Parts: sequence; structure tokens; C-alpha cells
Amino acid sequence: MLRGFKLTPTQNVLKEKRMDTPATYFHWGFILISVPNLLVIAGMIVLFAIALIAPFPHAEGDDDGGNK
Amino acid sequence: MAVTNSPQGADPGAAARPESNSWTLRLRQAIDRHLPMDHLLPDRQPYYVGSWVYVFGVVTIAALAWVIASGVVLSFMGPQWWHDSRVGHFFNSLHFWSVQLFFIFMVLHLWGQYFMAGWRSGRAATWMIGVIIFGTSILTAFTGYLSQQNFASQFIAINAKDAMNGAGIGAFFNVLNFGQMYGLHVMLLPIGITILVVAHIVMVRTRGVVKPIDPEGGARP
Amino acid sequence: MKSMGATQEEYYRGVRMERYDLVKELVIAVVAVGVIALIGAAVLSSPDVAPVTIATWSQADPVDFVTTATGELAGSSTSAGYGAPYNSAGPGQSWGPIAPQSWFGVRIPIDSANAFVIQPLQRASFSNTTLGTALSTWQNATADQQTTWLDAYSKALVDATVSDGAVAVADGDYGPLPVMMSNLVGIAQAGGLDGLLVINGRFYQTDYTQPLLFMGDGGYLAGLADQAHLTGSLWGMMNETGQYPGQTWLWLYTMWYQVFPFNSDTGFIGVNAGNADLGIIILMTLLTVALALVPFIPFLRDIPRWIPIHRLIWRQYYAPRKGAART
Repeated sequence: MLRGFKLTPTQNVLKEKRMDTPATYFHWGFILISVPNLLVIAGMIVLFAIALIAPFPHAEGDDDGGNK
Repeated sequence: MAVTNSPQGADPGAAARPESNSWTLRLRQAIDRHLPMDHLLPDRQPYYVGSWVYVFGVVTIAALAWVIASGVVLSFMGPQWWHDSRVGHFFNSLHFWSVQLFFIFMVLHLWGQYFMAGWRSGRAATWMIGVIIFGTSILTAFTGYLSQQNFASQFIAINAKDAMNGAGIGAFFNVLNFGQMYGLHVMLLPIGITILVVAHIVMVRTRGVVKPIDPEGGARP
Repeated sequence: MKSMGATQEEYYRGVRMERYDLVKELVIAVVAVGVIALIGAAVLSSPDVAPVTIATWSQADPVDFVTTATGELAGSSTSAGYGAPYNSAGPGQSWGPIAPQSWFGVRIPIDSANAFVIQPLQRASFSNTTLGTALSTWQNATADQQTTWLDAYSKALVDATVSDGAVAVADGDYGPLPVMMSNLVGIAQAGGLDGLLVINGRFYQTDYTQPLLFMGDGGYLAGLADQAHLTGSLWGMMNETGQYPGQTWLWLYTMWYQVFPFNSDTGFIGVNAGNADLGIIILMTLLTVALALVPFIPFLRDIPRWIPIHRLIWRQYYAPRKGAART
């Protein structure tokens, strides 16, 4: 962790671009996570759930007869 | 060479079993035996391979292909390019989002293989290589974040040095040294990941897709 | 291990095989992932907040800069008291007999006071007699005298004012320190210190250990990071500047810093906030090994059998009417 010799308030020199403004944070107990990170994790869970449920297209003309 | 290396001549039975002496032939026969082409590129899969969960592996490879392609362009043009030029910054963005997708799909693939207990029936080594790929990827991404040459790199370096130094790693792996981090990021670690991924895929194809979990069976490797 | 080439046939004996085009799947995947990545790159761009230089630091917050430089001279900065691998001023982190930080010794030697303040000033004093005199006064003074000046100057800096980029403190006996520091600020604001701290006598430079350590000792970069929500208490390592996702995959690593005993001063069995870095690296190494060894760890490898997610993935296989098609 950064143990600064002294912490002073600073001017914001970060670029004022839409995607470059600091993210909003989600705070729950000791969990503190940026909304973009939270979206990634939530998106992964949703994608996994969809992959579990969505029907998978099977090749037409199934081959039967065990080992070829 | 054929003159000096002539043990066949001393052994009249050698012609009947030529594989016993030629290393080349033995390697070819071992490959034929362990990984014939119809196992490496099969056109059929067991009928139970019918879920989108199986697709996470191949999309991880696809994302890796984009990571490597965009990374090659970035490293070819050099570290100033992605800050100074719009095209350079676009390739930086492409690299960034490919990496995000690579990790998302890799973790989904890991979840999928865990819940399928994909390590069963002689596939434990495949799982273990997969975990090593995951760890190596994290290290590669970390060196990449340190090579960005922007404010985030500075802050990650200043913070990470304490973790590295506390564990003694910092004596050899100096996160404040851009040259070292950049070299590892563009050369050593990508080669390592590529070799491991090829090994992982060969192992998957050698053994084939694991059968569904048998209600009576276990989850042993 | 059995010869798997033979057993793949054995393994699949009696299993119904279906057409499956792996190459077509790979090509579709490459195109689809490429489209998503290209859209992400075109629409959302990527984070690239300009780095802080010592010039911008000393221009934006000269008091913090001078305070930090004074701390380097006094030996009270983070880097001055760090220990291995930079110097032997601190003991480094350890847990019982496990002390890897000190095992490898001083591999990247850095003398903060000399490297960050005295040497750059010496180079700049070449044609500056006032600075040259101030430096010799400083170097010829006794350690006690230096400490007295440093204490007085550090106290005065708390109420320092800035006019035209120069730092002014209340009148007092600070010895040569005000001359030294006003020169250092001047060099820094002109961008000279950015160069002097990476100078190595070999022209090409790729190692930023010194300027990064110096900036890490100050409060300016940390303050900017705090604004950007990058600091440790905010799970900083997995965060990214702006509205971008960061190294989300580090969630577990960064989480440990927020929980007992790694966030506690008293700790548990010798693990506390003071050696949290070492403790967490050891823990994460063990957890990674455990993940690799999941196939051999009884409870962990059985969880997928108990949680019926596999029944969704292979629902065709488990469907009661198709039971006959098994084996």
C-alpha cells in the first residue's frame, strides 16, 4: 500500500472526457467495487446462465451407430 | 552419416523392425498412435456435446488470437505510437477489449469445466495446464498494465512494488523498471502462453471430450 | 497413463457420434469476438490518462514536492526507510522465519537523500555559485545541525505559501535548505529533475525506479489516485481510471487486503496489516496450487457432482426417455 509522506488535496488534472471521468462505486459492507468491474462480473454470470439454458443447435443429419 | 551410424548392419533382424532404431520414425509412430489426425481434427463429437458451455473454450482461443494480433501491431510500431497517433490508440483499444474478452471467456470456460468435472478419466493434467495458463495470463496482463506508460501504470507500479518486495519477488522482478516489464510482456510471457495453450488443446484432442458425470461414478481424475 | 490413442476409441465405444464442425466453429468465434472487440475499441476507446511527471507534480503542488524532498533528506520518507531491495534502513516484511524481502538483500540500491536531492543539485550547481555554496554548507554541517535545520524547515512547511510557483516559509534558521529547495523546485518545474532521476550514464533509459519511488513518497500522485478511486482501501489494484473495467480477475487478491487479519494492526498468528503483502502472496500461491490440484482434493472435486449444473449442460444425456441411448 502507498504510505504517502503527506497527503494533500490536489487539483484534478485527469482529462475531462466522458469515459475518463472516475467511475461510480458500489459499496456493500467491506465490498467496494467500481460499476464497470461490477458490470463485467454480472455480465459473466448472465452469460454463463444463458449458455446453460439456451438450446444448442445440433447438426442436421445425425450420425448414429456408435464409434465410426 | 549412414556409414558411421550403421548399427542395422550389425543386426540382421533390424530390417523387420525399423522403428527400433530411427528416432524420426519412432516420433512419427508415437504421434500417429497418440494423436492421429482424426483425433486432432475430428468431424464428429459425442452427442452429449450440445451446450453453449462448450463454446467458451473456443471463444477464449479466438480472443487470444485478437490479443496477439493487436499486440503484434502495437509492439511493431513501438511504445510512443499508441499515445501519439489516433490509429495507434485504436489498436491500443482493440488490445484492451480483446484482453477483457479473453479473461471473461477464460473464466467462463473454467467455471464450465469445473461444473462438468472435466478432469475425469485421465484429464487431470489438462486441467492443471489450464490453471497454469490462467496464472500466466494474469502475470502477462499485469506486465501489460505496467507497460501502458500512463497514470494507471504509475499507480499500479507504485502499489505493486510493495507486494512484490514483501514477498521477495521484487528483488528480481522490478515493477518500476519499464524495460523489464515491457520485455516480459511482449516476448517471454506471450510465448509461454502460446506454448501452454497448444499443449492444452493437444491434450484435449488426444483424450477427447469427457463423458457426462455418471450418477454412480465419482469425480476422480 | 494408458495409451490414449487406443483408449479414445475404447472410451467412446457405443457412444452416438454427431457431426460437429470444429474449424467452422473456430472461424465463427474469431469473427464474432473480433466484431465485439472492434466495436468496443471504436465506441468505448481505452483508458490512457496522461502520466504524472515530476514537472507537473512540482508545478501543481510545490509545497508537497518540497515537503517530500525535505523528507528524503531527513530520512523520514517511505523510500528512505524502506529496507530491501532498495536499502537496509528497514527490516522488511516477515512472518516468523519467512522473510523473503530481506533474504535477497539490497539488489536495487537507492540512497533516497542522495539520489533524489543531493546529486541532482550537485549537477545543477555547476554554474550556480549560490547553490554551490549552499550545498557545501549543507555537506560540511554536522548531522545534528542538519537535523535541527530539517526539523525547523519541516515544521515551517506546514504553513508554507506559494507565489509564482515558489515556496515561501516563515522566517527562521533553516541553514542552506531554502536555497537548496528553491533550486530543486526550479529544476523540477522546468522538467530537469525528470531527466536527472533517470540519468544512468548510458544514454538510453528504460528504468523508472527512481522517479517512481520519489513520486510515491509524495502526496500528489496518491491524491490523484484517490480521486480516480485507485487506492488500496478502494480495492485499487483491480480498478482502472475512468469508466473502464480494470483487472477484474484480481478481485480475490485485492479482497484479502480488506478482511481480517490482513487489515488489522493486531492481526492473528503474526499476520497483520504490516506484513499483509507477504501473507496475501503466500495465501494466493496456496490457493492457486489448490485450484490446480482440484482433481485430487476430495471435497472440492465432488462439488460439481452435488450441484446439478451438469444436469443442465448434459440435459439430453440425463433426459429419462433417452436413457437407452446412454453408455
